[in-house]
Formats: sequence, C-alpha cells, structure tokens
Amino acid sequence: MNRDPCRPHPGPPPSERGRENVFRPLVVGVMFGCIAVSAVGLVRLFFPAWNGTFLVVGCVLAALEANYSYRLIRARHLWGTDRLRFRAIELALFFVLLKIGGYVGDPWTDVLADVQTWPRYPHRVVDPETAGAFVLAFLSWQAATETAHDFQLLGQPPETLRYYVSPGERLAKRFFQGGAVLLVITGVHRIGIESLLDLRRPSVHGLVLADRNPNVLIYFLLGLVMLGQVHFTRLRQQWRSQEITMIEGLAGRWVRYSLAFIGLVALLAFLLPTGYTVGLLDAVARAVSLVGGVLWFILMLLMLPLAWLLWVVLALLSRLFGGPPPARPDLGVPELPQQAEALGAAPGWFEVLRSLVFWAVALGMVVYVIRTYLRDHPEVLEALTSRGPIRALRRLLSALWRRLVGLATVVGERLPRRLSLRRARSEPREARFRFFRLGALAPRERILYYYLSVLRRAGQQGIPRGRSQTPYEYDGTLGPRLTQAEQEMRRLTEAFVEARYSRHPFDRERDRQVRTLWQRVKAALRALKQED
Amino acid sequence: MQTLVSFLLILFLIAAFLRVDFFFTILYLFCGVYLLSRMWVRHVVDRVRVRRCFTDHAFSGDQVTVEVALHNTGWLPAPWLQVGETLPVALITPPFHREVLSLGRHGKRSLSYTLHCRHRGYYPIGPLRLQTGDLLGIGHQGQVEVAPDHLTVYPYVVPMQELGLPTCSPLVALPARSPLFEDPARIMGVRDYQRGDSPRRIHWTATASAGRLLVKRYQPAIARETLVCLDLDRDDYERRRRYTATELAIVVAASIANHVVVRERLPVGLATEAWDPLLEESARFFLPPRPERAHLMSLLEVLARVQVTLATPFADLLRRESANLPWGATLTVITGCESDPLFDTLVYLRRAGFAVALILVRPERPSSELQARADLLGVPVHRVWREQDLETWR
Repeated sequence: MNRDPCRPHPGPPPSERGRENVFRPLVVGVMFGCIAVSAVGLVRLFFPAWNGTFLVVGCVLAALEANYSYRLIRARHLWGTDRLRFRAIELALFFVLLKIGGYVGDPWTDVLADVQTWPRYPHRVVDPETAGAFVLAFLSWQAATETAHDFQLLGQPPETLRYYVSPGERLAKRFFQGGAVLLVITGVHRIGIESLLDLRRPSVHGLVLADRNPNVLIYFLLGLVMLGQVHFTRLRQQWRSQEITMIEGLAGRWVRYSLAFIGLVALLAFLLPTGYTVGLLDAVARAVSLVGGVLWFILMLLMLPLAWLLWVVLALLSRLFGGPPPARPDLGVPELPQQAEALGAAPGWFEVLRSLVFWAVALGMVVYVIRTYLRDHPEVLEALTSRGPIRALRRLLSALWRRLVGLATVVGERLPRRLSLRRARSEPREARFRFFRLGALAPRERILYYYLSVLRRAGQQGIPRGRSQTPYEYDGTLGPRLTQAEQEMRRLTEAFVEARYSRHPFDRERDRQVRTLWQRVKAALRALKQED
Repeated sequence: MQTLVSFLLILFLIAAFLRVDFFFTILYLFCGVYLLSRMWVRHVVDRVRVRRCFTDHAFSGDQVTVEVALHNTGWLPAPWLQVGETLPVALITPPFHREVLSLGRHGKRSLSYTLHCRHRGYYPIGPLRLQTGDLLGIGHQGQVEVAPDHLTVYPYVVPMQELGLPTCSPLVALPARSPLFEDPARIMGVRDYQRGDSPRRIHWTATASAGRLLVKRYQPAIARETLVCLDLDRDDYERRRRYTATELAIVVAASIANHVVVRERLPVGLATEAWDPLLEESARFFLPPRPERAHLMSLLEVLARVQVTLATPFADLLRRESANLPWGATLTVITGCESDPLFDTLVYLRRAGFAVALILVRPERPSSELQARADLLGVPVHRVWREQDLETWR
C-alpha cells in the first residue's frame, strides 16, 4: 500500500509517546534528585543549618528541563549561534531560579536587605551557596541532556568507529557511575568524615529506608526499571527496522515482568545477611583459629589416657627406687579456645559464624558473577590474560604444570616396570619360595616374565647370559642351541625388547602369542637338557 | 555487560570499606539481577517447545498453510521470543517469517503463514530460530534452533495433448502387435464364434442378446509395463536451456506416468540418475513398474525432488535398467539430446525385444537422419518444447 506523501507520518502510538515524553524524563529527574539528596546531606555535615531542599528541586527541574530543551532544539532545528543563545538563556534562568530558591524560607526583610547590597557589591550576587548549587544543577542538566540524546539514538544502527559505544551502554554506564557516586556520598554522609579512615568503626546497620531518606533504594530501583525500558526500546527499534511483527501489548507485558522481576530480586536481596561484626581477614583468621583449637582439643583428649599410663608407670618406678612421686596429670577436660575468648572483649563465636556466612555469601556471589561473565565472554578473559605480566605468569604456571604432569606420567609408567624388572632379576638369586601367580600380572609384565624365565632356565643349563650381552646378542648365543625353537627364541626376544622399551599397551592376545613362544622355547630347553 | 561487572566490583569495595550494611543489599540486588536473569533465560530456552504442522506433500499450484505452535512448558513466562523461520524463496516472498511474541507460564501460541507451491521441489521449511533474552539488557541471550521439516511439491501433471504427445499410450503401438498371451481379465470386445474357439470364451450374455454365438476378445497379455527413463545428466542438456529443459523433461515424465496409471491403468516405473536433495548426493532411482496409484505418488515424489547432476552416461543407464524389465516392456526415453551411443542403445533395446519411444526435450526438431533411422527401427520420436506452456502451468 502506497502512503500518501502529503500525509504526515503517523508517529508512535500514544502510550509510547507518553512513555517517551513523560515517564522517562520524570524517572531521570527523580534519579538526579536522589543523588542531590545525598549531596545535600553531605553538605549539611559541614553546615547543619543549611536548607538544601531548593537544590534537590533545582536538580530535578534541571533534568526535566534538559530533556524538554533537547527536544525543542531538535524540533526547531536550532544550530550555531541560535543554539548557543538558547543555551545561555537557559543557564541564566537556572541561575536566577537557584538564587531565588536560596532565599526560600528567609524573611522578606533579609532578602530585601541582601538585594539592596547588590548595586554596591555586585559580586555578592554570586555567593558560594548559589554558585555551588548552580554547579550541581548544571551537572544534573548536562547529564540529563546527554541521557536524552542517548535515548534518541537508541536502536539506531551502530557506527563503525573503533571506540564506538552504543547509546544503551552509555546509558547503563552513566547509571552505574551515578550509583557509585551516590553510594560514596551517602556512605560518607552516614559514617561521618571524622570516622572515615577509622577501620575499626562498627558497621552501619539498618536500611536506608528507615532513615526517611530512601533515595539510594529509589535510585537503584528506578535505574533498573530504566535499564529495562532502554533494552526494550533498543530491541523494538531493531525489530521495527527489520520489519518484524510484534504482538499487541508487548510493551505492557515488558513493564509488568520487569517490575515483578525487580521486586522479587529486591525481596531476595533484603532477605540475605548484610550485617557483620568481624572483618573478612579477621573472620578467616578466627575460622582458622577455631579449626586449630578443635584439632588441639581432640589431640588432648587422645593424649589423656597415655599421660595417665605414663604417670602410673612413673609412680610405680618412683616407689620401687624411692624417688619423688611424679606430678599428677591435669585430669580436667581441656577447654575449647572459644570458651576462653568468650570471656574477653572479642566477639562470640556466633558473631564470627554469622560474619563468615555473610562473607561467604557476598564474596561467593561476586566471584560467581565474575566467573560466569568470564565464561560467557572468553574474549575478555583472553584480553586480560594476554597482558604482559599476566601472560608471563600464565606461561610460567602452564610450563610448570606441563612439567609436573609429564613427570607424573613418566613415574607412573616407569616405576611399576622397574619394580617388576627388579623383582624378576632378584628372583633367581633369592631362590626362596614365594607365592607367585602369573595370571595376576599385566600382559606386559607377563611377557617380561616369560623371557626372564627362559634366561633362568638357560642359566641353569649352563648357557647363562653375560652381564654385557644385550638381548639380541644373547639370542645369538642361545638361539643356535635351540634347533627346534630358534625362530621362537628370536621372536620371544623381540617381544621382550618391545615390552621392555615401548610405551604402548599390550593386550591379552599378544600375551597369548608370546606365551606360546615361551612354551615352545621351554620345551626346546627341556629337550636340550635330556640330550645333555 | 562489562559495566555491570565492573560496577559490582566497585560496589563491593565501597560496601566493604564504608561498612554500610544496606550497600550489601544493593550488591545482592545487582548480583541477583545478573544471576536470576541468566537462570530465567536458560529456563525459557530449555522449556520452549516448537512444533510445525503442515501438509508435507502438495501439488504444484496448491497453497500450504504452515502452523508453528509454540508452547512454554516452564513455570516462568517467556517475556519475549523472537521467532525467525527461514523459508524457500520459491514458496514465499520474503523468504522468512519473523515475529516477536511473549508467552506466559505454560502459555501456547501459534503462528501461521501460507506457502505458494509454484514449483516442484523438495523444500526445507526452516530452520526456525528462536531468540530470547533478559528483560534488563544485562547481556544474556538464548537461542534455540529447530531443525527444518520438508515439503514435497509434486511436479505439474498435464494432459498428453498439451505436451504434443500421442494419447495412445504408452507412446508406442500398444496393445502389442504380436500378442503372445491374452489376459482373460481384460475384455476388449466380442466377435463371432469360430470353429476351434474354446467354449470358455463364449460370452453368454452377449450371445443371448445378439442371438448368435459370440466369443470374448481379450487384450493381448504381452508385457504391458512401461518404464519412464529420464535423463538428468547435466551434459545432455544445452547449458542455456538446461533449467527449462530439465524441468520440462520432469513434467513430461510425470505426465506420462500419470497417464499410464490413471488412464490406461497399466504399470509404470521410473529410472533415472539424479541429484537427490534428500540424500544430498547423486543417486540412481529405479522404481519397478506397478499399476497402483500409491506407486504413482511415490514416483511423483521422486520426480518432485530430483535435480540435474553429473551422472554416468544415459545410454549406460538404459542398458542397465532394461535388464530388470520383462520382454516386451516399453521404455519411454526422455532426454535432451540425440547421440550415437544413445541410438546404439535404442537399437540394442529393440533387438532385446523392448518397445521404445524417444522423447526429445529441446526446441529443435529431430534431424532427418535420426528420424529416418528411428523409423527404420520402429522407434517413434517425439519432440517436446513448449516453454510457454511450462510457464502457463505454473
């Protein structure tokens, strides 16, 4: 169907427009407001009487205005000087509004008195309070403008630049950076500047919700909802560009599922342990100490009867020889270490256990996430391990590992062979009865045994192998004597050399063949003995 | 998402340094989002079942509706599923069907699209790729690939007249001129009684009706089997017209087979060597002559999927497959070129007692020399080349 060129483009549906024009700016504004709340709280550490509400409102309004002005500039195609003029007026208005906001709550007389001083002292217009508020509001405005720009670019085909970062990633990065800043500010605000470097301070318990400032939680929950919307927008743009049909109500479902998912995860997160009294290293040290103490306790318990026995023997001896009686061993049950420590100021074992569980959960989660991420993205792992020092360390470790594996393999193969050979060699010398079961040997060992048995028998008949003779040389000596089994002797020698010096496995069939050769050679040796 | 992992590390360090318990809750929140998203995506990937429902055999000109049924057997909903079905361009334009949908827990949904069977062939329907992912763009993606099913579209079957072929099938003068046996099951008429006729041949009802003694005339029972020998050797068709000629040859083979079985009710078979997309290699097909309609369908199925190939010489194929036929059977040879080895084979077949008809699928008429030699042998030669008809049939 051809579209009428004069007809305007229908544009997105009303729900989508509402989401873009109302929901998103509002969420972004509130998120910036959350950061501003913490910033105000931090400032109030230094100026407790300062009322920074206007700054919070200013940051929210700046974020909302940034979104509106961005759209307006795009709609009116303002470029160059016009745009600069527009921006300048915008910022001037911000300043004026923040200045007015700074007077909120002051008596009119004070305000008028301050205003009357401006003609004489113009620099008083830009007081530190207004300047600081302006800087914060400007940062909020700037970040909100960039956010609006990234939202606009969502779903567009990626550029082929080397260091290109997609708008979705930029938005997520901004969210996480803001979150990190918010956490630092909030944390400093909660623990205070003076105790910041005190590593022995107790942990701050309780939820932020309980502090009537749930800005941290709101920021992260809204951020997650926003991430979901960003992802949906990106996918939707992608599907539209590929002309893929979407079912009705997908956007609504997306919001519902996102909210349910985030709510569920938040609930789980609140259920997990967060409090700890013992630091990570302390907890590990205490755990090691606990294990050591328990082992010591068991050892003491085991030693107690021995000590008693020893004491009884010593007591008897002292009576016999008239010496002083030995000191009686302590009959009390040895104390567990925690019983001793519980009396002191150190935390109880329950606290240590609780801290251990907490550290295990927290560290386990982080490590698992990193491990999963690296498994899903092997290229990142490769990039990490390809760095100079890590690569050298990796090579060193892998070389060491290869050496160890090789050594273990060689030892595993050679040791049984050496042992069996030594056993076989020592057999005629020892000449003592030893229960021997040929069937219990491995095929390789049996083949060795067959040959060594022939050597022993031939030696008994006066044809011993010289110490310097190789198996083939000895075959040259013995073979011509065994006229009925010269070939068999030759093949038995070959089988022995193969079994002695090769690494490949021997099967039962090969063993059976060599056994036949051995029996023939034995028969030939018997015949030779009878002839003699 | 690398940013999230970096943030988690930073968050862990901040929380551990500042010792604010609530920050660990935030850490758990993000770790949970990451891990549970991953588990959710895996669950959806494992639990979504896909089934295609469609008639897997169709005639040219039919429309086949394919229904793809998706069933989420898991207890978690599938928030979004991008379904992409790859389809043959000969059946549908654009050659894919893509849709994005959402399935609730234990939810079912079916998609449907219609294929237009414009051309014979053995078409893969699919593979179907099902893509899903997490809701927050953390980076987890899951993909399921459903193996393709296949649709067989039979070749066009057209009346013999449209091909310009004689209807006295199977193309040679049959019933045979030299009947050796008669088939008492096939009565072709009555004649007056002659001395020596067996009383068992008397047609009593006709005799009573005519008032004179009439005996049944049976059709000759010489081998009535027809073997359609289709040449799909690439070298036997001119390169420029290879596609049209081979397609036309297949239509001719299908039409003759249909005519023999449906109209004449006689057995028909097929011998060819071609590329089989089912086996994905060249294969020799020999379907021995049989008169059933089910056999005709299996013959048409083979003709639906065969493609030209670089095969052994067609003359060799004829000699080899004729060994499987009884004396007196008819071979309908469909090829794109005339050649001395082929003609020598025809001579061989005639001398071996087979009836042979030659159909050349090409625009040029048979050379006068070939015509003369064929006449001498008693081999009827026909030419089929109505390219516009092939288009019309589609």
